[in-house]
Amino acid sequence: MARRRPRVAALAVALASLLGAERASAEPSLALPAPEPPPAPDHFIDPKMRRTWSEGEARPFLSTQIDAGFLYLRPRLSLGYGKPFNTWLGVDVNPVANAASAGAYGGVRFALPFVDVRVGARPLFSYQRRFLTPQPSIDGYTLEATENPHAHSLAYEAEIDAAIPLGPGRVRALARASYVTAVRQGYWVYEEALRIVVAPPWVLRARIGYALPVPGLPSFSLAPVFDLVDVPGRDRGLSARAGVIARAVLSRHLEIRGVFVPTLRSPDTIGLAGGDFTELGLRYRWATGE
Amino acid sequence: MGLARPRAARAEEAPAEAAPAKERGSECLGPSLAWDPQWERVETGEKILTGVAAGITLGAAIVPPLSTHRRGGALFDEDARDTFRLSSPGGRFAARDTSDALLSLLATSPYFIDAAILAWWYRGNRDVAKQIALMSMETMAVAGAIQGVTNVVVSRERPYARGCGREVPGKTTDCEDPGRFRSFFSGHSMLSFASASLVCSHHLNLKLAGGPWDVSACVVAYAAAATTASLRVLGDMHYTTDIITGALIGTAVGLGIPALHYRGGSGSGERSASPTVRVVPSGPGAAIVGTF
Repeated sequence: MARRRPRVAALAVALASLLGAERASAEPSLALPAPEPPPAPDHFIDPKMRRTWSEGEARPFLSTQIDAGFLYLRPRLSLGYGKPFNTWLGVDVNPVANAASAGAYGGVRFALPFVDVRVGARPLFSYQRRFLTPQPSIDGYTLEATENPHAHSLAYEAEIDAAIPLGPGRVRALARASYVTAVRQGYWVYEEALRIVVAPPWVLRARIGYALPVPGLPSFSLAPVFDLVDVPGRDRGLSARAGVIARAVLSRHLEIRGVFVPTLRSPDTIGLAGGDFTELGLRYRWATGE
Repeated sequence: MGLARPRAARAEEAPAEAAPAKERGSECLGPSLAWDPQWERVETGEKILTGVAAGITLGAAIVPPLSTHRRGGALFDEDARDTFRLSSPGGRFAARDTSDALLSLLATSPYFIDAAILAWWYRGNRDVAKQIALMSMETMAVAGAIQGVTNVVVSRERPYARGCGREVPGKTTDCEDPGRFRSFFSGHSMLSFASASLVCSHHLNLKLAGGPWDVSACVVAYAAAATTASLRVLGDMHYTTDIITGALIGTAVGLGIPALHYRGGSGSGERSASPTVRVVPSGPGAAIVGTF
Protein backbone atom coordinates (compact mmCIF):
# COMPACT_ATOMS: atom_id res chain seq x y z
CA MET A 1 0.00 0.00 0.00
CA ALA A 2 2.83 2.43 0.79
CA ARG A 3 4.41 1.77 -2.67
CA ARG A 4 1.19 2.50 -4.53
CA ARG A 5 0.75 6.06 -3.06
CA PRO A 6 3.64 7.69 -5.01
CA ARG A 7 2.34 6.14 -8.22
CA VAL A 8 -1.15 7.39 -7.55
CA ALA A 9 0.20 10.87 -6.75
CA ALA A 10 2.27 10.95 -9.93
CA LEU A 11 -0.72 9.84 -11.96
CA ALA A 12 -2.87 12.53 -10.31
CA VAL A 13 -0.30 15.21 -11.11
CA ALA A 14 -0.06 14.06 -14.71
CA LEU A 15 -3.83 14.01 -15.07
CA ALA A 16 -4.13 17.47 -13.55
CA SER A 17 -1.49 18.79 -15.94
CA LEU A 18 -3.28 17.31 -18.88
CA LEU A 19 -6.60 18.77 -17.85
CA GLY A 20 -4.96 22.12 -17.28
CA ALA A 21 -3.39 22.08 -20.75
CA GLU A 22 -6.69 21.18 -22.35
CA ARG A 23 -8.45 23.93 -20.46
CA ALA A 24 -5.78 26.39 -21.54
CA SER A 25 -6.17 25.38 -25.17
CA ALA A 26 -9.94 25.51 -24.92
CA GLU A 27 -9.89 29.13 -23.72
CA PRO A 28 -9.51 31.86 -26.36
CA SER A 29 -6.06 33.54 -26.51
CA LEU A 30 -5.98 36.99 -24.99
CA ALA A 31 -2.91 38.04 -27.03
CA LEU A 32 -3.59 40.70 -29.68
CA PRO A 33 -3.09 39.59 -33.33
CA ALA A 34 0.28 40.55 -34.70
CA PRO A 35 -0.01 43.88 -36.55
CA GLU A 36 0.32 43.75 -40.32
CA PRO A 37 3.76 44.84 -41.42
CA PRO A 38 3.83 48.33 -42.98
CA PRO A 39 4.02 48.40 -46.76
CA ALA A 40 7.51 48.54 -48.23
CA PRO A 41 8.73 52.09 -48.95
CA ASP A 42 7.64 53.41 -52.34
CA HIS A 43 10.94 54.73 -53.71
CA PHE A 44 11.17 56.83 -56.87
CA ILE A 45 13.98 54.49 -57.95
CA ASP A 46 13.98 51.04 -56.35
CA PRO A 47 16.44 48.36 -57.49
CA LYS A 48 14.60 45.81 -55.34
CA MET A 49 11.23 46.51 -57.03
CA ARG A 50 9.45 46.08 -53.72
CA ARG A 51 6.22 47.69 -54.90
CA THR A 52 4.10 46.82 -57.90
CA TRP A 53 0.85 48.09 -59.37
CA SER A 54 -0.80 44.72 -58.73
CA GLU A 55 -0.98 45.30 -54.97
CA GLY A 56 -3.78 46.98 -53.06
CA GLU A 57 -7.51 46.96 -53.45
CA ALA A 58 -9.57 47.96 -56.45
CA ARG A 59 -10.67 51.57 -56.04
CA PRO A 60 -11.63 54.73 -57.91
CA PHE A 61 -8.47 56.55 -58.93
CA LEU A 62 -6.85 59.29 -60.94
CA SER A 63 -3.54 58.42 -62.56
CA THR A 64 -1.01 60.03 -64.83
CA GLN A 65 1.62 58.67 -67.14
CA ILE A 66 4.19 61.10 -68.52
CA ASP A 67 6.58 60.29 -71.35
CA ALA A 68 9.44 62.76 -71.73
CA GLY A 69 12.54 62.87 -73.87
CA PHE A 70 14.48 65.02 -76.34
CA LEU A 71 12.43 66.95 -77.24
CA TYR A 72 8.94 65.80 -76.38
CA LEU A 73 6.52 65.66 -73.49
CA ARG A 74 3.46 63.37 -73.64
CA PRO A 75 1.29 63.37 -70.55
CA ARG A 76 -1.70 61.06 -70.21
CA LEU A 77 -4.40 61.41 -67.58
CA SER A 78 -6.65 58.49 -66.67
CA LEU A 79 -9.75 58.31 -64.52
CA GLY A 80 -11.02 54.87 -63.66
CA TYR A 81 -11.87 52.10 -61.25
CA GLY A 82 -9.61 49.19 -60.36
CA LYS A 83 -5.89 48.95 -59.86
CA PRO A 84 -4.15 51.64 -61.94
CA PHE A 85 -1.72 50.42 -64.56
CA ASN A 86 -2.80 46.85 -63.85
CA THR A 87 -6.52 45.95 -63.90
CA TRP A 88 -8.95 48.78 -64.47
CA LEU A 89 -11.69 50.34 -66.54
CA GLY A 90 -11.90 54.03 -67.25
CA VAL A 91 -11.14 56.91 -69.55
CA ASP A 92 -7.90 58.35 -70.92
CA VAL A 93 -7.23 61.93 -71.95
CA ASN A 94 -3.96 63.25 -73.26
CA PRO A 95 -2.82 66.36 -75.12
CA VAL A 96 -0.65 65.93 -78.20
CA ALA A 97 1.77 68.77 -78.93
CA ASN A 98 5.11 69.02 -80.69
CA ALA A 99 6.97 71.35 -83.01
CA ALA A 100 4.79 70.31 -85.95
CA SER A 101 1.27 69.73 -84.63
CA ALA A 102 -1.19 69.95 -81.77
CA GLY A 103 -4.20 67.91 -80.77
CA ALA A 104 -5.56 65.57 -78.16
CA TYR A 105 -6.69 62.01 -77.56
CA GLY A 106 -9.72 60.88 -75.56
CA GLY A 107 -11.08 57.39 -75.12
CA VAL A 108 -12.13 54.44 -73.00
CA ARG A 109 -9.69 51.81 -71.78
CA PHE A 110 -10.09 48.37 -70.25
CA ALA A 111 -6.89 46.86 -68.90
CA LEU A 112 -5.97 43.48 -67.50
CA PRO A 113 -2.45 42.48 -66.46
CA PHE A 114 -1.70 40.92 -69.84
CA VAL A 115 -3.98 42.72 -72.24
CA ASP A 116 -5.09 46.27 -72.80
CA VAL A 117 -8.04 47.38 -74.97
CA ARG A 118 -8.81 50.98 -75.86
CA VAL A 119 -11.21 52.85 -78.11
CA GLY A 120 -11.00 56.55 -78.71
CA ALA A 121 -10.66 59.55 -80.99
CA ARG A 122 -7.79 61.89 -81.82
CA PRO A 123 -8.16 65.25 -83.54
CA LEU A 124 -4.91 66.74 -84.86
CA PHE A 125 -3.99 70.04 -86.46
CA SER A 126 -0.59 70.55 -88.07
CA TYR A 127 0.82 74.07 -88.14
CA GLN A 128 3.87 72.92 -90.05
CA ARG A 129 2.71 70.22 -92.44
CA ARG A 130 0.18 70.56 -95.24
CA PHE A 131 -2.24 68.22 -96.93
CA LEU A 132 -0.53 66.02 -99.51
CA THR A 133 -1.40 65.74 -103.17
CA PRO A 134 -1.88 62.02 -103.96
CA GLN A 135 1.03 60.44 -105.80
CA PRO A 136 2.66 56.99 -105.92
CA SER A 137 5.48 57.94 -103.54
CA ILE A 138 5.91 60.77 -101.07
CA ASP A 139 9.46 62.00 -100.45
CA GLY A 140 10.97 64.40 -97.94
CA TYR A 141 10.46 67.48 -100.10
CA THR A 142 6.81 66.62 -100.74
CA LEU A 143 6.24 66.11 -97.03
CA GLU A 144 7.66 69.60 -96.37
CA ALA A 145 5.79 71.30 -99.25
CA THR A 146 3.89 74.47 -98.36
CA GLU A 147 1.56 74.79 -101.36
CA ASN A 148 -1.50 73.04 -99.91
CA PRO A 149 -3.65 74.02 -96.91
CA HIS A 150 -2.54 73.18 -93.38
CA ALA A 151 -3.26 69.55 -92.55
CA HIS A 152 -5.81 68.39 -90.02
CA SER A 153 -7.54 65.10 -89.27
CA LEU A 154 -9.79 63.25 -86.86
CA ALA A 155 -8.90 59.62 -86.27
CA TYR A 156 -11.13 57.07 -84.53
CA GLU A 157 -9.14 54.15 -83.17
CA ALA A 158 -9.54 50.74 -81.61
CA GLU A 159 -6.51 48.92 -80.28
CA ILE A 160 -5.71 45.73 -78.44
CA ASP A 161 -2.23 45.36 -76.90
CA ALA A 162 -1.12 42.11 -75.27
CA ALA A 163 1.94 41.09 -73.24
CA ILE A 164 1.72 37.35 -72.66
CA PRO A 165 4.32 35.52 -70.56
CA LEU A 166 6.02 32.78 -72.53
CA GLY A 167 9.25 31.19 -71.47
CA PRO A 168 11.77 33.61 -70.04
CA GLY A 169 10.09 36.65 -71.61
CA ARG A 170 6.85 37.94 -72.97
CA VAL A 171 5.23 37.89 -76.37
CA ARG A 172 4.17 41.41 -77.33
CA ALA A 173 1.34 41.71 -79.82
CA LEU A 174 -0.61 44.73 -80.93
CA ALA A 175 -3.44 45.26 -83.40
CA ARG A 176 -4.89 48.65 -84.22
CA ALA A 177 -7.53 49.91 -86.63
CA SER A 178 -7.77 53.64 -87.32
CA TYR A 179 -10.49 55.41 -89.26
CA VAL A 180 -9.12 58.79 -90.38
CA THR A 181 -11.63 61.49 -91.28
CA ALA A 182 -11.85 65.31 -91.55
CA VAL A 183 -9.28 65.28 -94.38
CA ARG A 184 -9.98 67.71 -97.20
CA GLN A 185 -11.47 66.03 -100.25
CA GLY A 186 -8.88 64.91 -102.79
CA TYR A 187 -5.92 65.08 -100.45
CA TRP A 188 -3.90 62.70 -98.33
CA VAL A 189 -2.52 63.50 -94.92
CA TYR A 190 0.57 62.63 -92.90
CA GLU A 191 -0.84 61.48 -89.58
CA GLU A 192 1.65 62.50 -86.88
CA ALA A 193 0.62 59.90 -84.31
CA LEU A 194 0.47 57.00 -86.77
CA ARG A 195 3.60 58.25 -88.55
CA ILE A 196 2.26 57.25 -91.94
CA VAL A 197 0.92 58.93 -95.05
CA VAL A 198 -2.81 58.23 -95.03
CA ALA A 199 -5.17 57.93 -97.99
CA PRO A 200 -8.34 58.13 -95.93
CA PRO A 201 -10.03 56.49 -94.27
CA TRP A 202 -8.48 53.24 -93.05
CA VAL A 203 -5.12 52.47 -91.47
CA LEU A 204 -4.45 48.99 -90.12
CA ARG A 205 -1.46 48.14 -87.96
CA ALA A 206 -0.12 44.94 -86.42
CA ARG A 207 2.99 44.40 -84.30
CA ILE A 208 4.59 41.24 -83.00
CA GLY A 209 7.63 41.02 -80.78
CA TYR A 210 9.24 39.17 -77.92
CA ALA A 211 10.56 40.95 -74.82
CA LEU A 212 13.52 39.14 -73.36
CA PRO A 213 15.01 40.14 -69.98
CA VAL A 214 18.71 40.95 -70.04
CA PRO A 215 20.65 38.16 -68.27
CA GLY A 216 21.57 39.27 -64.78
CA LEU A 217 19.40 42.39 -65.02
CA PRO A 218 15.76 41.25 -64.85
CA SER A 219 14.51 44.85 -64.76
CA PHE A 220 16.01 45.43 -68.20
CA SER A 221 14.56 43.95 -71.37
CA LEU A 222 15.10 44.05 -75.09
CA ALA A 223 12.25 43.30 -77.47
CA PRO A 224 12.84 42.80 -81.18
CA VAL A 225 9.62 43.83 -82.92
CA PHE A 226 8.15 43.71 -86.40
CA ASP A 227 5.38 46.02 -87.62
CA LEU A 228 3.09 45.93 -90.61
CA VAL A 229 1.08 49.05 -91.43
CA ASP A 230 -1.42 48.97 -94.27
CA VAL A 231 -3.25 51.87 -95.88
CA PRO A 232 -5.87 50.13 -98.05
CA GLY A 233 -6.73 53.40 -99.81
CA ARG A 234 -3.33 53.47 -101.50
CA ASP A 235 -1.91 51.26 -104.18
CA ARG A 236 0.89 49.25 -102.58
CA GLY A 237 0.13 50.95 -99.28
CA LEU A 238 1.82 48.31 -97.12
CA SER A 239 4.78 49.37 -94.97
CA ALA A 240 7.04 47.19 -92.87
CA ARG A 241 9.09 48.30 -89.88
CA ALA A 242 11.47 46.36 -87.67
CA GLY A 243 13.63 47.24 -84.75
CA VAL A 244 14.00 46.94 -81.02
CA ILE A 245 12.32 48.32 -77.92
CA ALA A 246 14.55 48.64 -74.86
CA ARG A 247 13.18 49.08 -71.35
CA ALA A 248 14.83 49.65 -67.98
CA VAL A 249 12.28 49.49 -65.17
CA LEU A 250 13.79 51.41 -62.27
CA SER A 251 10.73 51.27 -60.00
CA ARG A 252 7.00 50.98 -60.40
CA HIS A 253 7.03 54.75 -61.00
CA LEU A 254 9.95 55.19 -63.36
CA GLU A 255 11.06 53.50 -66.52
CA ILE A 256 13.64 54.43 -69.17
CA ARG A 257 12.53 53.45 -72.66
CA GLY A 258 14.01 53.45 -76.12
CA VAL A 259 11.98 52.70 -79.24
CA PHE A 260 14.00 52.20 -82.42
CA VAL A 261 11.75 50.79 -85.14
CA PRO A 262 12.75 52.27 -88.49
CA THR A 263 10.99 51.60 -91.78
CA LEU A 264 12.24 48.70 -93.88
CA ARG A 265 9.80 48.94 -96.74
CA SER A 266 7.37 51.67 -97.67
CA PRO A 267 5.87 53.31 -100.74
CA ASP A 268 7.31 56.57 -99.39
CA THR A 269 10.83 57.82 -98.68
CA ILE A 270 10.29 60.04 -95.64
CA GLY A 271 12.97 58.60 -93.35
CA LEU A 272 12.40 58.70 -89.62
CA ALA A 273 9.08 60.48 -90.12
CA GLY A 274 7.76 57.14 -91.41
CA GLY A 275 9.16 55.02 -88.58
CA ASP A 276 8.38 54.46 -84.94
CA PHE A 277 11.30 56.16 -83.33
CA THR A 278 11.01 57.80 -79.95
CA GLU A 279 14.69 57.93 -79.11
CA LEU A 280 15.54 57.58 -75.44
CA GLY A 281 12.95 58.75 -72.96
CA LEU A 282 11.56 58.24 -69.51
CA ARG A 283 8.07 57.16 -68.46
CA TYR A 284 6.76 58.28 -65.09
CA ARG A 285 3.64 56.81 -63.49
CA TRP A 286 1.66 58.02 -60.51
CA ALA A 287 -1.79 57.25 -59.14
CA THR A 288 -3.99 58.34 -56.25
CA GLY A 289 -4.80 56.01 -53.41
CA GLU A 290 -1.38 54.34 -53.22
CA MET B 1 7.07 71.02 -66.00
CA GLY B 2 8.11 69.24 -62.79
CA LEU B 3 7.48 65.59 -62.02
CA ALA B 4 5.06 65.03 -59.14
CA ARG B 5 6.31 62.49 -56.62
CA PRO B 6 4.14 60.23 -54.48
CA ARG B 7 3.96 61.25 -50.84
CA ALA B 8 5.75 58.11 -49.66
CA ALA B 9 8.75 58.79 -51.88
CA ARG B 10 8.90 62.44 -50.79
CA ALA B 11 9.01 61.36 -47.14
CA GLU B 12 11.95 59.08 -47.88
CA GLU B 13 14.18 61.80 -49.26
CA ALA B 14 16.84 63.40 -47.06
CA PRO B 15 17.94 66.99 -47.78
CA ALA B 16 20.94 66.94 -50.08
CA GLU B 17 22.97 69.18 -47.74
CA ALA B 18 22.52 66.75 -44.87
CA ALA B 19 23.50 63.70 -46.90
CA PRO B 20 26.45 64.65 -49.08
CA ALA B 21 27.72 61.06 -49.09
CA LYS B 22 25.83 57.86 -49.88
CA GLU B 23 22.08 58.18 -49.23
CA ARG B 24 21.20 56.74 -45.85
CA GLY B 25 19.33 53.48 -46.01
CA SER B 26 19.60 53.09 -49.77
CA GLU B 27 20.30 49.75 -51.38
CA CYS B 28 22.38 49.48 -54.48
CA LEU B 29 23.33 46.73 -56.85
CA GLY B 30 26.86 47.97 -57.48
CA PRO B 31 29.66 49.42 -55.37
CA SER B 32 28.61 52.45 -53.34
CA LEU B 33 29.14 55.92 -54.77
CA ALA B 34 30.11 59.05 -52.89
CA TRP B 35 30.27 62.76 -53.68
CA ASP B 36 33.74 64.00 -52.78
CA PRO B 37 33.13 66.68 -50.10
CA GLN B 38 35.79 68.87 -51.74
CA TRP B 39 33.83 69.08 -54.96
CA GLU B 40 31.62 72.09 -55.56
CA ARG B 41 27.92 71.36 -55.52
CA VAL B 42 25.46 73.10 -57.84
CA GLU B 43 24.26 76.07 -55.77
CA THR B 44 21.29 78.40 -56.02
CA GLY B 45 23.15 80.92 -58.14
CA GLU B 46 23.93 78.29 -60.74
CA LYS B 47 20.35 77.11 -60.77
CA ILE B 48 19.33 80.69 -61.51
CA LEU B 49 21.98 80.87 -64.23
CA THR B 50 20.58 77.64 -65.72
CA GLY B 51 17.08 79.10 -65.78
CA VAL B 52 18.21 82.36 -67.37
CA ALA B 53 20.33 80.55 -69.98
CA ALA B 54 17.44 78.23 -70.80
CA GLY B 55 15.21 81.26 -71.27
CA ILE B 56 17.75 82.84 -73.62
CA THR B 57 17.97 79.59 -75.57
CA LEU B 58 14.19 79.43 -75.94
CA GLY B 59 13.97 83.08 -76.89
CA ALA B 60 16.70 82.72 -79.50
CA ALA B 61 14.84 79.78 -81.01
CA ILE B 62 11.68 81.86 -81.37
CA VAL B 63 13.19 85.16 -82.53
CA PRO B 64 13.99 85.04 -86.27
CA PRO B 65 17.58 85.64 -87.38
CA LEU B 66 18.58 89.18 -88.30
CA SER B 67 17.57 90.32 -91.75
CA THR B 68 21.20 90.93 -92.80
CA HIS B 69 22.24 87.50 -93.96
CA ARG B 70 25.64 85.99 -94.61
CA ARG B 71 25.83 83.64 -97.55
CA GLY B 72 28.40 81.20 -98.86
CA GLY B 73 31.28 79.34 -97.29
CA ALA B 74 34.42 80.57 -95.58
CA LEU B 75 38.01 79.26 -95.66
CA PHE B 76 37.79 75.62 -96.82
CA ASP B 77 33.98 75.35 -96.72
CA GLU B 78 33.41 75.21 -100.46
CA ASP B 79 35.99 72.50 -101.06
CA ALA B 80 34.64 70.48 -98.16
CA ARG B 81 31.06 70.85 -99.42
CA ASP B 82 32.00 69.70 -102.87
CA THR B 83 33.75 66.68 -101.38
CA PHE B 84 31.36 65.56 -98.66
CA ARG B 85 27.84 66.68 -99.61
CA LEU B 86 25.79 63.60 -100.57
CA SER B 87 24.58 63.72 -104.13
CA SER B 88 21.06 62.34 -103.72
CA PRO B 89 18.22 64.09 -101.86
CA GLY B 90 17.32 60.75 -100.23
CA GLY B 91 20.84 60.35 -98.93
CA ARG B 92 20.88 63.88 -97.55
CA PHE B 93 17.55 63.35 -95.75
CA ALA B 94 18.86 60.09 -94.33
CA ALA B 95 21.98 61.87 -93.05
CA ARG B 96 19.83 64.52 -91.35
CA ASP B 97 17.57 61.90 -89.77
CA THR B 98 20.52 59.93 -88.47
CA SER B 99 22.09 63.05 -86.97
CA ASP B 100 18.76 63.80 -85.23
CA ALA B 101 18.62 60.28 -83.80
CA LEU B 102 22.22 60.35 -82.57
CA LEU B 103 21.74 63.78 -81.01
CA SER B 104 18.68 62.65 -79.07
CA LEU B 105 20.61 59.68 -77.67
CA LEU B 106 23.60 61.81 -76.71
CA ALA B 107 21.60 64.66 -75.20
CA THR B 108 19.61 62.36 -72.93
CA SER B 109 22.50 60.10 -71.87
CA PRO B 110 23.78 62.28 -68.99
CA TYR B 111 20.29 62.26 -67.43
CA PHE B 112 18.85 58.85 -68.17
CA ILE B 113 21.97 56.68 -68.22
CA ASP B 114 24.53 58.46 -66.05
CA ALA B 115 22.24 60.00 -63.43
CA ALA B 116 19.16 57.76 -63.26
CA ILE B 117 20.51 54.33 -64.11
CA LEU B 118 24.18 54.34 -63.10
CA ALA B 119 24.39 56.80 -60.20
CA TRP B 120 20.99 56.26 -58.60
CA TRP B 121 19.65 52.82 -59.58
CA TYR B 122 22.96 50.94 -59.84
CA ARG B 123 25.21 52.78 -57.39
CA GLY B 124 22.44 53.84 -54.94
CA ASN B 125 23.24 57.54 -54.53
CA ARG B 126 20.32 59.87 -55.24
CA ASP B 127 22.35 62.94 -54.27
CA VAL B 128 25.11 62.27 -56.81
CA ALA B 129 22.45 61.61 -59.45
CA LYS B 130 20.91 64.98 -58.69
CA GLN B 131 24.27 66.76 -58.98
CA ILE B 132 24.94 65.05 -62.33
CA ALA B 133 21.55 66.13 -63.65
CA LEU B 134 21.90 69.72 -62.41
CA MET B 135 25.42 70.06 -63.81
CA SER B 136 24.25 68.69 -67.15
CA MET B 137 21.29 71.06 -67.29
CA GLU B 138 23.57 74.00 -66.49
CA THR B 139 26.02 72.99 -69.20
CA MET B 140 23.40 72.49 -71.90
CA ALA B 141 21.56 75.68 -71.04
CA VAL B 142 24.70 77.81 -71.19
CA ALA B 143 25.85 76.17 -74.44
CA GLY B 144 22.38 76.56 -75.92
CA ALA B 145 22.27 80.25 -75.04
CA ILE B 146 25.63 80.91 -76.70
CA GLN B 147 24.60 79.03 -79.83
CA GLY B 148 21.14 80.55 -80.01
CA VAL B 149 22.31 84.15 -79.76
CA THR B 150 25.07 83.51 -82.31
CA ASN B 151 22.53 81.98 -84.71
CA VAL B 152 20.34 85.08 -84.53
CA VAL B 153 23.15 87.61 -84.82
CA VAL B 154 25.26 85.97 -87.55
CA SER B 155 22.19 84.87 -89.62
CA ARG B 156 24.22 82.68 -91.97
CA GLU B 157 22.34 80.88 -94.73
CA ARG B 158 22.49 77.09 -94.72
CA PRO B 159 24.31 75.54 -97.70
CA TYR B 160 21.23 73.69 -99.08
CA ALA B 161 19.38 76.99 -99.40
CA ARG B 162 21.62 77.96 -102.29
CA GLY B 163 19.55 75.48 -104.32
CA CYS B 164 16.12 76.81 -103.31
CA GLY B 165 13.95 77.22 -106.38
CA ARG B 166 16.16 74.88 -108.40
CA GLU B 167 17.29 71.50 -107.05
CA VAL B 168 15.36 72.18 -103.82
CA PRO B 169 11.69 73.05 -104.37
CA GLY B 170 11.13 76.66 -103.38
CA LYS B 171 7.72 76.07 -101.80
CA THR B 172 8.99 73.95 -98.92
CA THR B 173 9.50 74.53 -95.22
CA ASP B 174 13.25 74.23 -95.73
CA CYS B 175 13.27 77.24 -98.06
CA GLU B 176 10.56 79.40 -96.49
CA ASP B 177 11.28 78.91 -92.79
CA PRO B 178 13.62 81.36 -90.98
CA GLY B 179 15.62 78.30 -89.94
CA ARG B 180 17.20 78.61 -93.35
CA PHE B 181 19.48 81.27 -91.81
CA ARG B 182 20.61 79.39 -88.71
CA SER B 183 23.73 77.78 -90.13
CA PHE B 184 26.36 79.31 -87.81
CA PHE B 185 27.10 77.64 -85.71
CA SER B 186 25.74 74.09 -85.72
CA GLY B 187 23.48 73.37 -82.78
CA HIS B 188 23.66 69.62 -83.44
CA SER B 189 27.44 69.72 -83.30
CA MET B 190 27.54 71.94 -80.25
CA LEU B 191 25.03 69.96 -78.25
CA SER B 192 26.42 66.56 -79.19
CA PHE B 193 29.96 67.55 -78.21
CA ALA B 194 28.72 69.19 -75.01
CA SER B 195 26.84 65.99 -74.16
CA ALA B 196 29.85 63.80 -74.96
CA SER B 197 32.02 66.04 -72.76
CA LEU B 198 29.50 65.71 -69.94
CA VAL B 199 29.46 61.92 -70.25
CA CYS B 200 33.25 61.92 -70.19
CA SER B 201 33.47 64.25 -67.17
CA HIS B 202 30.94 62.32 -65.11
CA HIS B 203 32.39 58.92 -65.93
CA LEU B 204 36.05 59.80 -65.41
CA ASN B 205 35.52 61.74 -62.17
CA LEU B 206 32.90 59.51 -60.56
CA LYS B 207 33.99 56.16 -62.05
CA LEU B 208 30.31 55.49 -62.69
CA ALA B 209 30.65 52.25 -64.60
CA GLY B 210 33.97 51.02 -63.20
CA GLY B 211 36.88 49.31 -64.90
CA PRO B 212 37.51 50.13 -68.55
CA TRP B 213 33.87 51.03 -69.14
CA ASP B 214 34.25 54.67 -68.14
CA VAL B 215 36.97 55.32 -70.72
CA SER B 216 34.91 53.34 -73.23
CA ALA B 217 31.88 55.52 -72.53
CA CYS B 218 34.03 58.58 -73.18
CA VAL B 219 35.35 57.24 -76.47
CA VAL B 220 31.93 56.12 -77.71
CA ALA B 221 30.33 59.43 -76.77
CA TYR B 222 32.90 61.50 -78.66
CA ALA B 223 32.74 59.16 -81.65
CA ALA B 224 28.98 59.60 -81.73
CA ALA B 225 29.37 63.37 -81.47
CA ALA B 226 31.86 63.44 -84.34
CA THR B 227 29.51 61.31 -86.42
CA THR B 228 26.58 63.59 -85.65
CA ALA B 229 28.54 66.66 -86.66
CA SER B 230 29.83 65.06 -89.85
CA LEU B 231 26.34 63.99 -90.90
CA ARG B 232 25.26 67.63 -90.82
CA VAL B 233 27.78 68.38 -93.57
CA LEU B 234 26.88 65.25 -95.52
CA GLY B 235 23.22 66.29 -95.31
CA ASP B 236 24.08 69.81 -96.56
CA MET B 237 22.60 71.40 -93.43
CA HIS B 238 25.86 73.10 -92.37
CA TYR B 239 29.25 74.19 -93.62
CA THR B 240 32.36 72.60 -92.15
CA THR B 241 33.25 75.76 -90.23
CA ASP B 242 29.78 75.60 -88.62
CA ILE B 243 30.34 72.14 -87.18
CA ILE B 244 33.94 72.78 -86.15
CA THR B 245 32.90 75.90 -84.25
CA GLY B 246 30.04 74.01 -82.63
CA ALA B 247 32.36 71.17 -81.64
CA LEU B 248 34.92 73.51 -80.08
CA ILE B 249 32.38 75.53 -78.10
CA GLY B 250 30.42 72.45 -77.07
CA THR B 251 33.57 70.74 -75.82
CA ALA B 252 34.78 73.86 -74.00
CA VAL B 253 31.49 74.32 -72.14
CA GLY B 254 30.94 70.59 -71.66
CA LEU B 255 34.32 70.14 -70.02
CA GLY B 256 34.62 73.57 -68.42
CA ILE B 257 31.47 73.68 -66.31
CA PRO B 258 31.94 70.17 -64.83
CA ALA B 259 35.58 71.04 -64.18
CA LEU B 260 34.45 73.92 -61.96
CA HIS B 261 32.58 71.38 -59.86
CA TYR B 262 34.87 68.35 -59.92
CA ARG B 263 38.05 70.25 -59.05
CA GLY B 264 39.82 70.01 -55.72
CA GLY B 265 38.93 66.44 -54.88
CA SER B 266 42.09 64.89 -53.51
CA GLY B 267 40.49 62.20 -51.37
CA SER B 268 42.71 63.21 -48.44
CA GLY B 269 40.06 65.29 -46.72
CA GLU B 270 42.19 68.42 -47.14
CA ARG B 271 40.97 71.39 -49.12
CA SER B 272 42.82 71.85 -52.38
CA ALA B 273 45.00 74.95 -52.70
CA SER B 274 43.80 75.61 -56.27
CA PRO B 275 41.51 78.62 -56.84
CA THR B 276 37.78 78.13 -57.05
CA VAL B 277 35.06 80.06 -58.85
CA ARG B 278 31.40 79.98 -57.85
CA VAL B 279 28.22 81.70 -58.96
CA VAL B 280 26.23 83.00 -55.99
CA PRO B 281 23.04 85.03 -55.61
CA SER B 282 23.64 88.73 -55.08
CA GLY B 283 20.59 90.92 -54.44
CA PRO B 284 18.29 90.76 -57.45
CA GLY B 285 20.94 89.11 -59.60
CA ALA B 286 23.98 86.90 -59.38
CA ALA B 287 27.68 87.35 -58.82
CA ILE B 288 30.78 85.35 -59.56
CA VAL B 289 32.99 84.79 -56.52
CA GLY B 290 36.51 83.49 -56.63
CA THR B 291 38.77 82.26 -53.83
CA PHE B 292 42.48 81.73 -54.01
